[in-house]
Amino acid sequence: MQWTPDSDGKVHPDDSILLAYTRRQSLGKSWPSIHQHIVGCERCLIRCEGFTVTSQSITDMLTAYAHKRYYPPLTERLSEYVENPAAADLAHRKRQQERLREDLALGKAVLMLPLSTVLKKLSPARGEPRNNAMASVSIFSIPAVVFLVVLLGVFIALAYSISSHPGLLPFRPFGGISTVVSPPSRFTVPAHSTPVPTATPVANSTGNGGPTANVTPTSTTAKPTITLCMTQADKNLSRIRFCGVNFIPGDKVELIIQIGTNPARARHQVTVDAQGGFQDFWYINACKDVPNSVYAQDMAHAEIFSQVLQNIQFGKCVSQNSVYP
Amino acid sequence: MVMDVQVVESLRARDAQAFRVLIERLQQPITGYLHRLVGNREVALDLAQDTFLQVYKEIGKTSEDLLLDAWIYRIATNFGLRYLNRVRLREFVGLDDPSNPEDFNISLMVPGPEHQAETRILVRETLLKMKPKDAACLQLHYGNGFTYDEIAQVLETTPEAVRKRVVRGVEKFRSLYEVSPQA
Repeated sequence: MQWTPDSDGKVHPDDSILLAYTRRQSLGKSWPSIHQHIVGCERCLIRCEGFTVTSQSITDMLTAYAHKRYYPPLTERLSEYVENPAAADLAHRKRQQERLREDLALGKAVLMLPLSTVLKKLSPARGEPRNNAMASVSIFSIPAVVFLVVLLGVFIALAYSISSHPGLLPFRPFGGISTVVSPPSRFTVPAHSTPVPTATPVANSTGNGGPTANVTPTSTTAKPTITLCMTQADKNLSRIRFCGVNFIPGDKVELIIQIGTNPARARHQVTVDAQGGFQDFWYINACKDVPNSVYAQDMAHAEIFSQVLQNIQFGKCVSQNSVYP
Repeated sequence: MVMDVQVVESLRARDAQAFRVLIERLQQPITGYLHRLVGNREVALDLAQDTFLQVYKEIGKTSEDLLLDAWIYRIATNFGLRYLNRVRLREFVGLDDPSNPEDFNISLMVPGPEHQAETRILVRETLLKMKPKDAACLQLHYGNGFTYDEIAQVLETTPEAVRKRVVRGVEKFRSLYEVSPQA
């Protein structure tokens, strides 16, 4: 319930409450306090009296208006429909179709209104001198025309800013989504150095980063290896995906990634499948999010980890130099 | 307001007699309400017919504890407000002339003193100048005797919102019609 202060700082129930009070409408639990206030408040009593008089006038007018009307009974017409549901359905459908037609006409008129108004007003009437054409433009059509021009201007400005400002375009490092499907990317695998279980792995080779570069393991033994293995769907969705092989099935592994100048961090754990493989992926929103280095670490066996991937190319983005030597 | 479980049950069972009784009971008030809301007698009759057809069609989908009258008034109100919105849009795009209460032509009035006809025209014009939902609240309360709680059920809103709408309607009515000098 709203109470409003008067000029003396005394609070009174607002008009809606006073009107409800005079109309004996439910005011809930607040009724006693409202009643107590009103009976002791001259200002509120006067307002209530005013509302009573107004209400009586409105009631008289509306009821008089209603009672002197007579409407032909609908019973017969509706009974026909009730006894014949098919006819009722038909009548209902017909009414719906009528309304749909009206709505379509209305929609068309709404769409055509600005154009037709302007064209009609600007084109000179027959026999009317051309230079009087503007004189026939109603002053009321000016706001509509101005609105349309502004709207058009906004569209043009927006289109221009989007086309000229790459930051406003959605991040699509692989260009349009209709690019030709290519086989999964491969990156140069640096030679393995001594195991480094902490987040400071050492990579001693630099890959050429080409999406078709081949994996060049330094050993013929089945060492745990990770590769960049994006599918076309990943590219379309700006998703980077790494696949691991030759890990111990059932083990938990996590990718250790280093982005920009941030310290390396571990991603969530994934379980190695029965074939010794796993996959992990995430979304890249900007080139700066492409990791500089990635390697996988087996959580159950500290001595098992993959090579370090560097110079990772994600579409047009190439990762910065790794903080690792 | 009638909350007759048996009536609802009969209607749900597609009892033609129950439907006829319902129409006889509610046709005049519903049509009158729609007439005041939309300002056109023929349209009001059409909308009332649509309302009852909708009732017959949809009653089977309602629950047993349905507040029958509130539900029927809600259907009628929705039809009326939809019609008014369409009319206003038509006026806006220039398909129709601005609202002209055609049926306030003297020939359509019941015989009576001249000032009564004028009063009705003023009432009609005043109602048409209000927001449709405010006008609906005012008419349901003053014209049909609904309580705020019942109107809240009809309009699917809260009694507090109805309270505000009614007082807004009254103020508007008073300012347009100057029915009473307020202290």
